[in-house]
Amino acid sequence: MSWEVAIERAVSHSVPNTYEVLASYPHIRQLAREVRKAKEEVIRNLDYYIEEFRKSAERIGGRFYLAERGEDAVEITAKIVGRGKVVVLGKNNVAIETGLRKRLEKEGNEVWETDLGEFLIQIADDEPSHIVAPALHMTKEAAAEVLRRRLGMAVPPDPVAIAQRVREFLRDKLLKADVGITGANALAADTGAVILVENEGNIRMVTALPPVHVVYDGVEKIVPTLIHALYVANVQAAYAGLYPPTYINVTGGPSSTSDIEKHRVSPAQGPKEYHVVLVDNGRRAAAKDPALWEALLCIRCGRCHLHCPVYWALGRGFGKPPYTGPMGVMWTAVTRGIEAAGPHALKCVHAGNCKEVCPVGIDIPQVIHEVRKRYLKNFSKPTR
Amino acid sequence: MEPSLDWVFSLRDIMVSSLQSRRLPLPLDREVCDGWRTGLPLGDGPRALYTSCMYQMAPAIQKAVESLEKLGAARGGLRARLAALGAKAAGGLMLRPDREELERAYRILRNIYNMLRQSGVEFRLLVDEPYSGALLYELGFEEEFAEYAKEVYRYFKERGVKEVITVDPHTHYVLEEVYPKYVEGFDLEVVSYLDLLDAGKIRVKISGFAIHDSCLYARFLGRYERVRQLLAAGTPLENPYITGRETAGCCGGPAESIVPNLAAKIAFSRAQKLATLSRTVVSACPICLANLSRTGIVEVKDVAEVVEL
Repeated sequence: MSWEVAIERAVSHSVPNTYEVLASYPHIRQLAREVRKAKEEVIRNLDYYIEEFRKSAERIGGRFYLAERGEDAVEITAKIVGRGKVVVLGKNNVAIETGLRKRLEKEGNEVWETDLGEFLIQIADDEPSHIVAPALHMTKEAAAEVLRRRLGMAVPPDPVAIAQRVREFLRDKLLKADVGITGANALAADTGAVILVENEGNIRMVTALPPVHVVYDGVEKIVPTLIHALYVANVQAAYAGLYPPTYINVTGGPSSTSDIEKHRVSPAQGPKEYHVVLVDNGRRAAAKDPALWEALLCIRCGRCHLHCPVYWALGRGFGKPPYTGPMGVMWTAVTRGIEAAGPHALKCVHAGNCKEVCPVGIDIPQVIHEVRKRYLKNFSKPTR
Repeated sequence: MEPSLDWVFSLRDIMVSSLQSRRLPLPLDREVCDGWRTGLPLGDGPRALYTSCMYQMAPAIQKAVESLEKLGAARGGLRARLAALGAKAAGGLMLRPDREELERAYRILRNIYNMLRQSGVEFRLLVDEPYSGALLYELGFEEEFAEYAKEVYRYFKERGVKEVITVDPHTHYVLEEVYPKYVEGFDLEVVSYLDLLDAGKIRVKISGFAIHDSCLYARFLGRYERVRQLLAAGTPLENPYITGRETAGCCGGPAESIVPNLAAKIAFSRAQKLATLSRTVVSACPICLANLSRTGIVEVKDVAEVVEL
């Protein structure tokens, strides 16, 4: 089955759903404007908010790490995890950006993606094609085929049956996991809490079942307060066309109880350790860049992909996984530089749909145009 | 479908040298640009109709792209280098648009001219009008564009032009949104002919067509509704997921000079979707007209071919 079939199906499901959600819950657009304001504030003062978040995370009993480069983040996390452990992951684009899973596997850990789409990508040894739906390029037929070929699972090409079979497979891994690693939809500077939006229930288990929870994401996910973080969760889910989301998870430190004499102690049922590894990898430089800063506003709803004629034509050939599609070209520039993003910027047709549908109003065509300009300037040859 | 830098820079060289020698981005005879106004009075005054040679050149671009595809410009590596050499050699030649296509472009421009006159708009015509430089900007050659744009601005100022009537979205966008950022003191008024037509008097000659919006008109220049206002009498067929302002696709045109097979793929998929509404498609942009017509899936007409006063 071809990419054309897969994207056609995804667009026909998701695009009308998203319009319906936005029409049914009109306050979401107002929240989206608030999110933009909050994120602008953080991007303008990124170092200040990183420090605020650190203090808050430590105050609630967490351990905080700031990694300048992707490889630093990977090494820090490899140390936290150790060797010979069972590690379960929530969908995490920064883990893919920095190559975390492979590094943990190298240490002899058994590492499992628990998001269905990401799990399919893992077992197919493939690359993700969409920021929210990594296996977007796989039709149901292709997904069933991957399960049969790689894991010997006989499952019909039916999304319900596929989800059921993978749930059975992963439940055992989740129960015996030593470490759970998630990303973050938003990080609250005032409280040190992380907000995670999901529908599958896997993140809820990844954050609560193993004794250690590691949050692993980019510094731009910080927002000023926990309330803003909840706004981000609502807006992200709505613009992904999945509203209300089945779960919004708040994690504010290791598990705790104050049931004895109202004195809060830790741990209780959930993890005893809460680590937050924040990755810079080009983000702090982008925050100061007159054009690229806008990319940091992105809340990863993945809506721009589904309105982009170049993404319809090329899929993950437009951008560098995990950052594909219009937002992906910007994010390839942020995390891998102009040289890596430039060839993709040259494919942009400036259709402008991405800008129109972006919840936080990023002028994506303009950012991509800027990447294109710089790329051509950097590699310019004198006029003959 | 990866762009080749060798080719992109060769294209820049072709454009810059062509703009220097004849103020057109492609090696075309200047006569191609001016033929449409034969026999029309030039007139005078501060307001000028500015074609930027877009409709006249579009058929030649199509032809140039076809030869590029044959030379393998889209495939990168050695082939791209050969294509670049080929194109450089072709730079010494003159591209010739197909006679029939050129006549059609002239008819479109004459219709625009007549409709403006009938709407009571006063304006003059320009002799040897330069191309706007839009393609240089769109490709990302900022410095080359900035230099050329100053020359174009000077052309207008020397002729006392204060207001420019555009006939296509690329010229309109670059003059209205981009020139002020690159040309110091830029003070030309930019108005689209679509806004000057008397909508109350418009007749639409066909019906049951689908509208393909220009990306620039619909999403960058706020003309989505205006195009519909002008075409309303023809009861265009709409589908919110095919012809919606945020959901409609591009014709692929802007990619055609860099990644022609990507442009063709986008055009093909766009035409297929439009064809589910109607086999007749109306557009308001010479690039859309050329690129969607190439697919052979739909018959594309320009808005100026289907409306009259």
